[in-house]
Amino acid sequence: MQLPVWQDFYVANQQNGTEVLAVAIDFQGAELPRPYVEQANPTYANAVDTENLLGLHFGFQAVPNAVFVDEAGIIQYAKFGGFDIRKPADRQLAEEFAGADQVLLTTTEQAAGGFNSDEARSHFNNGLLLFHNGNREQALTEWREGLAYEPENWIIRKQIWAIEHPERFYSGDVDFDWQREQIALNQ
Amino acid sequence: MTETTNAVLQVGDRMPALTLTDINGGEIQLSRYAGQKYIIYMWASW
Repeated sequence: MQLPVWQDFYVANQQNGTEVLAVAIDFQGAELPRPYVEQANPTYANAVDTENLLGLHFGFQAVPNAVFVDEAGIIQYAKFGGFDIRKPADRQLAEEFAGADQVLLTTTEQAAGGFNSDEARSHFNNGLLLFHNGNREQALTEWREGLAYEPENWIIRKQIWAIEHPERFYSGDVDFDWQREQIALNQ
Repeated sequence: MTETTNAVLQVGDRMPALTLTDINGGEIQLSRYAGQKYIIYMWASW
């Protein structure tokens, strides 16, 4: 879990006035990610994005992500997929941003790219709307159609898994062995 | 329909004034960070 390490970063950089906002991306609601937040007990703000609001604005296909925003509200750095505050290189970037007097403006690092096709985006959005209206099966159908266009889209794939196989995600530790088996089976 | 945006935000763009849901209820408006640096960390339990 990165949440406790973000707390460490947050405390260490409070003298710089740098805030941290952690956002759980979970279309099923706050109940599922909340236990992880409670366990980390952070003093920074924690939100949940059930509407894919950030996904629509940034077009990412994977998490974990980090977006650095400066005092003027300008996005200075973004990495989509694979940002890990526990890794020295990522920690250093965050520290440099927090401690910098001047802007650093780096390029966006996109580990997995945005939605590559309008078809996948359309199916994904349709599915999200259906899911929030309680049409679980129809939502899954839409997401599977979207996934057919973009088999590498982890936002769609893992959300399907989490809804169809909640026991692999929400009863204790996330079962990564199971996920690898699913990939091997092309599920 | 869910509102879609084709203009994907890039480094150098202004962060829009989004309102997110606090994990314990209520709202978190990004405008609360006006004049401050902040980092948005996005994660998933799955």
